[in-house]
Amino acid sequence: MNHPLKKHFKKSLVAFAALTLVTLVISLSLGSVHIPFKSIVEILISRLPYMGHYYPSYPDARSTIILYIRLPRILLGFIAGISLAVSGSSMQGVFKNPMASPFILGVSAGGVLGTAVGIFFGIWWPLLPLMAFIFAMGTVFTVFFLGRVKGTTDITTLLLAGLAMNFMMTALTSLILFYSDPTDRMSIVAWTWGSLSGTIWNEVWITLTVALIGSALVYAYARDLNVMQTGEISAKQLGIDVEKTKIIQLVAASLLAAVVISFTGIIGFVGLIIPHASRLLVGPDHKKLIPISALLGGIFLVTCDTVSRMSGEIWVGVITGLFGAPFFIYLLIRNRGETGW
Amino acid sequence: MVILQLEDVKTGYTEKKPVLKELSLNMDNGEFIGVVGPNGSGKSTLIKTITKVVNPWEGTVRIKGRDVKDLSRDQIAKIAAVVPQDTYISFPFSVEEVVLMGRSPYLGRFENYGIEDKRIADGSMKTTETYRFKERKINEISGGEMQRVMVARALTQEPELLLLDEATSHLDIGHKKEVMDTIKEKNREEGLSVLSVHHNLNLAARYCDKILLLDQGKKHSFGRPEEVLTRTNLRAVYGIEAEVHRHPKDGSLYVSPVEDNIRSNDAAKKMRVHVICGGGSSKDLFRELIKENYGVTAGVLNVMDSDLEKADFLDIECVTEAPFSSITDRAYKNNLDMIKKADAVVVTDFPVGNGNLRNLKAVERSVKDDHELILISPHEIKERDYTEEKKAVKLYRKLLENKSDVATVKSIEGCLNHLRIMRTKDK
Amino acid sequence: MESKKILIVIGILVAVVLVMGALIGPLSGTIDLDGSEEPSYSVEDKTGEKLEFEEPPERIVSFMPSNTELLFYLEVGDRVVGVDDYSDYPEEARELPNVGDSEGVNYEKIVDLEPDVVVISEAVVNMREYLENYGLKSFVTGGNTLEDVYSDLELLGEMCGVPERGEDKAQELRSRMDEITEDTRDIPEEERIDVLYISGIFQGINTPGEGTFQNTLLTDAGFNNIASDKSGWATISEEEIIDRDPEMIIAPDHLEPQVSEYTEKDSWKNITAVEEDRIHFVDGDVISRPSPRLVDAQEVLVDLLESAETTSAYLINTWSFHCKEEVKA
Repeated sequence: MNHPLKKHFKKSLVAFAALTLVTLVISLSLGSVHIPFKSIVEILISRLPYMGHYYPSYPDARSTIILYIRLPRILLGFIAGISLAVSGSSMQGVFKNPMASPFILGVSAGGVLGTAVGIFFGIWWPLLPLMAFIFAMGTVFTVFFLGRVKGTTDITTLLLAGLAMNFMMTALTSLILFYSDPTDRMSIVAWTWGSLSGTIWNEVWITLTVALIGSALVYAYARDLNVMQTGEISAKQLGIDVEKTKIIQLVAASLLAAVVISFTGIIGFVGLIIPHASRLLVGPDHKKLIPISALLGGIFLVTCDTVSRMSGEIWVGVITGLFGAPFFIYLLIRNRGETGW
Repeated sequence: MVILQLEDVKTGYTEKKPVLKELSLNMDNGEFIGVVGPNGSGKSTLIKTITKVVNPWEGTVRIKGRDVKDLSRDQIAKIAAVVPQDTYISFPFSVEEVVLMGRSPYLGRFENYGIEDKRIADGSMKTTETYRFKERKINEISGGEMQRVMVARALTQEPELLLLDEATSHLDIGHKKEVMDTIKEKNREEGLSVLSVHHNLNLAARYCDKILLLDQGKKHSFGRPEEVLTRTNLRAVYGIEAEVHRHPKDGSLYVSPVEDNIRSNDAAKKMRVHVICGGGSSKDLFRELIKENYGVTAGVLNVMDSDLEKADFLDIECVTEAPFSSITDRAYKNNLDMIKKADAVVVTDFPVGNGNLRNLKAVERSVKDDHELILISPHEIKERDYTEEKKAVKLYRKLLENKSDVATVKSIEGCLNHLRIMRTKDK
Repeated sequence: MESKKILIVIGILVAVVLVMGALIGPLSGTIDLDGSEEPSYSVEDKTGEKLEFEEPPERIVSFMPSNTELLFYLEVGDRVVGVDDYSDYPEEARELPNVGDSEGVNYEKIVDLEPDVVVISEAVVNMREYLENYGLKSFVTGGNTLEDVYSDLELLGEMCGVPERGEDKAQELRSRMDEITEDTRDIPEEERIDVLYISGIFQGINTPGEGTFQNTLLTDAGFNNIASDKSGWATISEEEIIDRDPEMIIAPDHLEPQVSEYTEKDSWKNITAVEEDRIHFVDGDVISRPSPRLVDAQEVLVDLLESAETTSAYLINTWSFHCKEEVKA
């Protein structure tokens, strides 16, 4: 595979941006209730500029559906896709391993435990995302703490610590599941498969903020990540602050993933597969990889969520898995024997 | 101007186990200094200490007069560039992308490579002859090409000091020469200071103006090659017996294992076989001969020839010649003597060039009737004759014509069989 | 270290944004419902929330099968424009558009139906926040007792602008209940038949205890619920069951296979109900939903009691024995 889009990077970016727009528009027009395209356009235009609160006497049902049900959900899907893909790209770069995912440091295991604890103790449910986030980032920081060897962050130790915390969090979650009643159990299990339904605008703003900050951080240290691929000592000798780069990348990547899953539950495969696919298209230079992954990730997740919406709200994590796994296997078979990705 | 200065540097990796102890060194601009020493003497730690990858516990390191403690990594990288021993890259970057990484110290966080950066990178690639495959993926090129890419990357940093960390250890002799020649040229013509850590004494001796011999983290000796690479020093630091010679052509030093000792080989008692070979053609002949209890000698072999390394390893007496050099009269004469002392002479299917044609001549001259002469695959000589006017072919023909019972075999196995038959006949 | 400071600052900022967002989220009614008119009346639902109406709701979405039954019993079924997937009674409810179930609520459909109010229950009280987001009022029914069912009826009546009808209908139910349990309500404790009612099987055997409408039904039907010392919907262990030795076991029909697994166990062999084969399955919908059809459930229970072979002097003397068939609603 020879990185077909590497030379046409700018054009590809534009093409993917256009594809994004198309995907968003199509997703907006699909749903349980049929709303003609013309109406959608009218509704959107009538809301420019959109300020977040409006006071009609009686809201038009279609307007509500588009602006309060579909649009926030689709936007969150897009932003979440970006966050997860960028996070995955970063993790794969830091661990120099195409098997790394955003959840490798225990973000997902921590998130599940936080949610399980919250549901089990009947915590006021709007606070559940906060519980998930606190436990997720708590797990990451614990892994970090365990992974520090003599004042530096050792990649291998981090990986092992992540594995250990994963096991522990999962075990504790299973314990809670054991003692939970059927409705709670169902809620917890549903969370591990992810869902974008019931997205409200606040979630969109929060995720957008973190996505912007996180992606900016990851991108700012993209070249450093490139140079680190030739070895940490080599990179140091080229002037790269390896320790700082690792910390920033890992924290940013974990944050990106943690915020997303706090609201949506665990959506897998996006962070693992999208960076791969992007790498095959534009090559391993992170300055190109990250933007392309971001767009591809957004498009992918929105598409999966639309499929989910139209199929009776099957958990979106199942859809990403069903699409993602075969694609992954295809990549595997196709690239077997070829070194590198 | 002193470009690099180490003052009583003591450092290491684990507490209480220093790798470098009280090391001091002054290096002037434009010098080419080699650092040699046995394994564990601290050679690569030295480079890591200079580039601030390892911090000195005691003492100071100064680059261009400034203490490295006060310099940022970026600043150091703009002055000193490292070529590592080997590099593993997990993702398929192109050669050009890797070389461009050398410009990192000069770029701001959000800056991209500019035209000037590309120009510098192109220049380095052309110097190292890697330009022609700049689009290829880094995981698709050979080890030798990879090292040249690493040199290109280092040069792209526009350094004033080049640090080689056993940069040619994994290369074959041809590539070793290529890489070192390129660097030597940069040193001579542009005044690039070079500090090169070597495993191979001869390489160091050949290219470096001065040599630092390290022994267990301390400086054992420092100075011109002839001052440092003495028999005494080598015995003291490496624990070996070696002879130091001067290259007949350019006067550079080279070290080779000692000749004229009676070895455990104990040639006097057994049937002596002299092997004429080179370029790796001996394969496992030496080992097999020793196994079957022959007294083995060999010659003439150039230092750094892999056959010589094999012979050395087995304690086989050899006539040696300087690396990259044609066979001189001295070696030629010694070879003739060896042949005379032997009971049998085996000529392997070595590639013949102008430089070692005299090996064949020696056979022609000194092989008498009471010598057993075994030629391995003589008929393929045409394919391995690199002399002008195909002199080797002619020599072989002469050999086959003049000598009555020349044995021709196709392989090492055939050679051994013939020798066995010979032995039983004698008894 | 410089990077640590950056990270700490980022961490704090993000945490602040998140906490604010999490707290503000449900409270920021993005669609303000206040019209320009003055509300003319208000109703308090089971969560204590006051719902205000200018005029009685004409378009109602009912979420939960029990709510659907209540609304139709209240004779406002013509105002119901949408129901959840499981609302199957009465017959007319099946014709109405479906808006999902508790696992997957279809908000788009609900919004599209433009209801004036959505009637939900305590079990899905989370729906309230989402509905508010989309500018919709929700009315929450709930409570565990029989009285709660009657009060739901009255409150719904108030909400729909027919408070007298609500009261009347509630009274109707009360009277029917009284009538059915006339003979069995006051059976003295020592004469009562011990019964085990299995309401579910999840991590053990679930059974209704004190404070549940099912307990009330059983007790009024003249049984002694062996789990009445427990409160709410509780779990009872096998040991306790064997120890308390019920004379009858009653369970909803959809639990028949699981219950049979238990009753066929060796350890259960000596329980009176098993020995005498008095294991009865009744219509699950009717007995589990907090709806008007509990009256029918009550009838079934009373019949079961009367058909019990164990004779008691009190019963023989005071009953007028009607041989009714088991009525399945």
